[in-house]
Amino acid sequence: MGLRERGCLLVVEDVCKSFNGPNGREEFMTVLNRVNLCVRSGQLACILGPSGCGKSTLLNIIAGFERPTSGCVLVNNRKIDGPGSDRGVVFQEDALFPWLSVRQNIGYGLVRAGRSQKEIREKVCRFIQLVGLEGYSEFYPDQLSGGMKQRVALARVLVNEPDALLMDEPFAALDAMARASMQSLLLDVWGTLPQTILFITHDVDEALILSDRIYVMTAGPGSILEDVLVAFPRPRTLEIMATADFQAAKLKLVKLLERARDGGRPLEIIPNCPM
Amino acid sequence: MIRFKSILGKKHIIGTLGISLFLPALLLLVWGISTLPSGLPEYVLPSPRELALTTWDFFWGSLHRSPYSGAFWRHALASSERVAVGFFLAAVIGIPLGLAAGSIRNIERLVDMSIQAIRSVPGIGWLPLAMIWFGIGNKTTVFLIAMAGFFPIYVNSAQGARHVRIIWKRAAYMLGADRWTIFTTIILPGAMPSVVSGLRVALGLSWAYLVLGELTGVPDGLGAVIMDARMLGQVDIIIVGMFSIALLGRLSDRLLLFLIGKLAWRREMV
Repeated sequence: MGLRERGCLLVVEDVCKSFNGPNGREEFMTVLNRVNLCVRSGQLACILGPSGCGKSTLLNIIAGFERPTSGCVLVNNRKIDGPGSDRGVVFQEDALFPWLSVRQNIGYGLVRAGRSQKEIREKVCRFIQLVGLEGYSEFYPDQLSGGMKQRVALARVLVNEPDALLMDEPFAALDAMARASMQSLLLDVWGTLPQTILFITHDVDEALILSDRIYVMTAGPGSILEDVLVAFPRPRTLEIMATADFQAAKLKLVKLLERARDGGRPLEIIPNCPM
Repeated sequence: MIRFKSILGKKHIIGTLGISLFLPALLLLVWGISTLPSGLPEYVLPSPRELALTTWDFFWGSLHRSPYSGAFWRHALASSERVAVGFFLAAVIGIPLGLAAGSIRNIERLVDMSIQAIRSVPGIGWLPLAMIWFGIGNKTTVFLIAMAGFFPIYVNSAQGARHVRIIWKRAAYMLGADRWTIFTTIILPGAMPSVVSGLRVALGLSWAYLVLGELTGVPDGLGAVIMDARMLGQVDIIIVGMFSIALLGRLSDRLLLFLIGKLAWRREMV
């Protein structure tokens, strides 16, 4: 058994993931090696790591899109088995349904859950306001900017009241302005609507601004290098970036990341992950 | 600057239209000259004037020039009916089968190889067999149209379903959809652009196979008109018949797009 802290809503326990190597079943490429982490209820945790360290694979396993080779993921002490609406995912790419309007995209999960028309209408309306898209409900995704699309993507999962929110570098494809405004939006939303969030990023600033706890990941094979607690007071705004504490923490993390990169050997072919 | 540009733009459009009209105008001229009294006889190629009158008469019947005065509507209706039935059969079988093969591996394994094998028989190759099975006439024609239309609809639907983005399916799963709702709410609309292009190709082919079927001897329909006119030596009616088929083909494509646009899916999907 790996570490299991009390009050953890989302637990990743000894997760390994290997793929068959280029020479078939004889060899394995291990992408994740014994990853352990836990996110407390109502906490926002970040996974920070260089690109190629397996962060997205880890998130896909937690979301249930891929199965771990060994180990398991628990949500509310229940072992997950495939994707489900208890874990909402905001993807890095645009994953809105282009044939549905903003209102229909946000209502998609509620319709699947069999809610009444009236309830769907009211909730969708409330969440459109929450992400600041009043007046856009009848627009289609291709008529929106990248930032607005991610707002819809956020509202689309929040409206289902998931146990946990998984965000896979959701703002990485946005320009600096849109990214900053999305970060503030997420802080605001998280203030009014406490959520358990696991947020993946390779951006040190983003990790520090948003999270209570940062798991620094290293590559080759992907594992948790360090577990950093972030104690800036809440509610936060982007102004904390100007404080000396922030700069000191940032320096520490940048150094950690360098170590993660150096320590991370290039992906090599090694025997399968220990069971 | 802007005005200059717009003037230039206008000139440009007139210019391209002029160039595009050059060949038809030349053709008309050559046609007119070659059908002068000293030129080709009427039974080989009617003059533009004769053809225009025959066309008018074929549609509206006021000139009583031939047995086909005002006959367009009856024959067009018969032909359209055959195309509609054949095309409908092709779509009703082709779309579900294609979507299923494109999204479910085992169904693809089950049907795809056989369908691809049958597909390599050219549509005309089915004519003798169809005549034995269905006799000469209506059923054979409908069979040929359905046969010809089925393949492009199947192939495009399967392709469309196969290429629906994985991230849409993942998004739908994590929003609580099950396999069946993924099919109806993600694969169906996601594959729609491809399905529509399959339908359009099939509709175009339908008209080609309509003529083939009607040439084998049915009492009505535009293909039959062309064939009868050949027997009666009425070249003008043959040409008018060809023109009518082209016209109906165009109109039916417009109608198809209109009907698809009426469905709940997005306008850009077409």
